[in-house]
Amino acid sequence: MTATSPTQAPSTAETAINNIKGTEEPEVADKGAETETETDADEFEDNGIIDHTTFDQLLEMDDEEDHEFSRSLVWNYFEQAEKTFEDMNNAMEKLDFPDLSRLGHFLKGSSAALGLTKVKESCEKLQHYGNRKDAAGVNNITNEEAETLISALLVQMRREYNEAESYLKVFYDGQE
Amino acid sequence: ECANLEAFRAKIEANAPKIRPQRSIKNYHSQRQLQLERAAAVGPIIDTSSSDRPSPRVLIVEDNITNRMILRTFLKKRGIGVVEAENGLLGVERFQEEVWRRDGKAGFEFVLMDLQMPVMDGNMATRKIREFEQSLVKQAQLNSNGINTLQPGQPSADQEGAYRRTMIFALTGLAADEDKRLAFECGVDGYLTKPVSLKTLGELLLETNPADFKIHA
Repeated sequence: MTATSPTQAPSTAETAINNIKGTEEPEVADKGAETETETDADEFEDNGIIDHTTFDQLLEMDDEEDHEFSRSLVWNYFEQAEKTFEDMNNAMEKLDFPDLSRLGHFLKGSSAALGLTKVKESCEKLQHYGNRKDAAGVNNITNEEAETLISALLVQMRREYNEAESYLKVFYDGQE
Repeated sequence: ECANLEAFRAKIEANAPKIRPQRSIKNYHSQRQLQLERAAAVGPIIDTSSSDRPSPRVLIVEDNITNRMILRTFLKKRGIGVVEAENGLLGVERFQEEVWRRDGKAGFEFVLMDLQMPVMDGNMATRKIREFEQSLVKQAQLNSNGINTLQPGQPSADQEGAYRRTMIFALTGLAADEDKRLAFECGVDGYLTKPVSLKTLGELLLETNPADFKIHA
């Protein structure tokens, strides 16, 4: 198979992999399969905390009855996030915008891989603000604007992460 | 060709499993069993036990540790060897080492290349790999039976001593057409949008390397 440019007819590989992701609506839960943890997690059901299309594919890689792989991923993510938030606060004190952008990019990747939609979107904004761009990454903003936006965003991001952390801890252990 | 591509895409979408939101790991496996009875398993399993070929090997060039863990586990569960690099510069080095490991005949079965990385990004790393491959192709042509067998462009895999070009797939969260165009200009063969769909990656394994992989149904 030869390389193709986007101006040519797409190769089989390009078409096959070009963002073919599931966009299916999740099936309605089987009532008979509900557990006591269902009630605890109901409050998160419509908050868009986690994209289960992305997250569940990680569960599919767990060995039978042993959730070591997905659990290790999630708990490793918790460690990454805590360290990253600490680094973000330090960078904010110094108004180190490039470092803030780098940290946003770093946490964005992990958050996206786990399907943590809100955290990922906030990380993307931080990446842009740190580059002195607007939320879409298109228009320039001043350092003062970036400082104001990032200050508010860090608070929001922490709240969104706490939500996601709580959700995942309930998911795995049935308790926060 | 467009009709075939559309049919292939329709096949993937038709076979994509319907996954319901899981609120608890405790009820996950009972639901999973029901899904497996209805949907195809995710991705092919690579069987090299009876093959004369060495086990397939893939290079993952990705700076994010979580993404590396996911891709590594997915590929290893399918019998594929994995080499990792956390930036583009290391990725180029790992690629060159693999080519020498294979006596200059080929690199990895394919490369998954993140585009946004420190030190050297994926576009530059892809360029470097393609330049390196071109030098191998020219060398292979010069080493073939006399100057009369010189062929322009890419040599086929069937030619004795010819170098087999590696497929490179970009991993990108970038959606802009310009970013995609640039990646193709640098030499990628396709791209996967992050977060990567593992089912799509599994189908890609089958579609791009059917001659190398003996697939379990």
